[in-house]
Amino acid sequence: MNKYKKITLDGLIFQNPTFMLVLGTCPTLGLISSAFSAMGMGLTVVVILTLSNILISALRKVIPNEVRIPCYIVIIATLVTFVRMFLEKLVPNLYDALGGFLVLIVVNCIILGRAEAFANKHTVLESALDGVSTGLGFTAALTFMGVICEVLGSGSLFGFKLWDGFTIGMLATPAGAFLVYGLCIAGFTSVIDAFMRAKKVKANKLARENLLREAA
Amino acid sequence: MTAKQFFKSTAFKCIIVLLSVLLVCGVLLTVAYSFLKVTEGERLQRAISAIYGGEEVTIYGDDAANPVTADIDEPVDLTKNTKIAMDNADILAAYKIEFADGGLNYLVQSQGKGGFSGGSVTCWIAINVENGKVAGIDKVNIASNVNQSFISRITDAFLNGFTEDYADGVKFSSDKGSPDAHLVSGASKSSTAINNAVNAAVAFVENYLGGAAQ
Repeated sequence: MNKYKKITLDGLIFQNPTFMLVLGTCPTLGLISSAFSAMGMGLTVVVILTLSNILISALRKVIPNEVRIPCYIVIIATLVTFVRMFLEKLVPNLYDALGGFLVLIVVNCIILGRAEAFANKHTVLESALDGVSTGLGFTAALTFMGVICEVLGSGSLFGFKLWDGFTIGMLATPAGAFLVYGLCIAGFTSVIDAFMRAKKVKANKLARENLLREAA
Repeated sequence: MTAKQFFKSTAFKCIIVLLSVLLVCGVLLTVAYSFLKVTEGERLQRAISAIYGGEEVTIYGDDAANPVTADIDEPVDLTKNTKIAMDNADILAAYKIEFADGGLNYLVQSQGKGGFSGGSVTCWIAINVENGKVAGIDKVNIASNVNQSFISRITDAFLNGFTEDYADGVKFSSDKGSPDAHLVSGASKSSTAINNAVNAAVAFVENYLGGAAQ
């Protein structure tokens, strides 16, 4: 498989940070009660993750191994502070919606995890692609759960009221978010497992047919 | 270890790299801050457009030429960034707003304490004044917050409740035992801070602005 395609699919699906690696659970549980906040947090992470991966990959030969983690933290904190100032100035609604979770991106394990596991071992282009695909995987997961929690928990979608009356109040709280998160992980991993099993069976069948052909 | 050995060591390289990264990041953030700083004037304009929309209003108190004075123990000029301590809140700013039809509002920026994790919520509160008395709360908007992770749960219905439920002498409370509790479930601490901000703003206008400033 083309390595760029593999990086993209890994970030989006096979190593999805939310459903497969279970990283970044703090903002996930705190923000998925609103689809707007969830998507906003996801897109903010896309920007910060991509930029941090690019910078860390570009500086990987300059930064000594002994001080790599403090350097990564300084770089990530700078990017988060910059994005925070940018949002406060130009997108104040999103800035208010993200609340305290925006500054907590500095210690988000997805960003530090990708810096440590990927960006410091790969080229700038590969790292940028990893940042975009992992960030989009995180955004998709958060938005999907945000839609479920907001529709069922508040009877609205992206702030627009859908109906009055029936709502499951618990889904608008972190406890309900935890329940939805668990169910989504179960559903996602079972689909991926089924896909991988089918792929393996197909590969085994092909290998057996090849062997039989060679033997004949 | 000699000085020459130290300058060739990994430790020296680590120090230089770390300090360089810190310095470059610091300089870049300083430059970015000079472009992206949100000034008090911008905050006021945002609040005015969020609260009064396109309505034509005259603002008093936004510069030294148009002062708004609070009659506390002695007159206090509110254009001079004076912070006035009230019960569970600080009044950060107050502006007098006059409408084209002669109506009068006080727009008060109040920082309510008692929020989640010891934090606070700063609100803009538009208070309608008639004949030197508070006649109602026209609008409450959240300006900023400190440590309020669940501030996004605060709904428009909760904020509109201040306008709908205001009565002379009422104190908004988030006490869960009270039948008149005014709070959002899941953000009760942030609700407390907002209630404190609104109560303080109303008391401030009632006691120190009101008729005296007119």
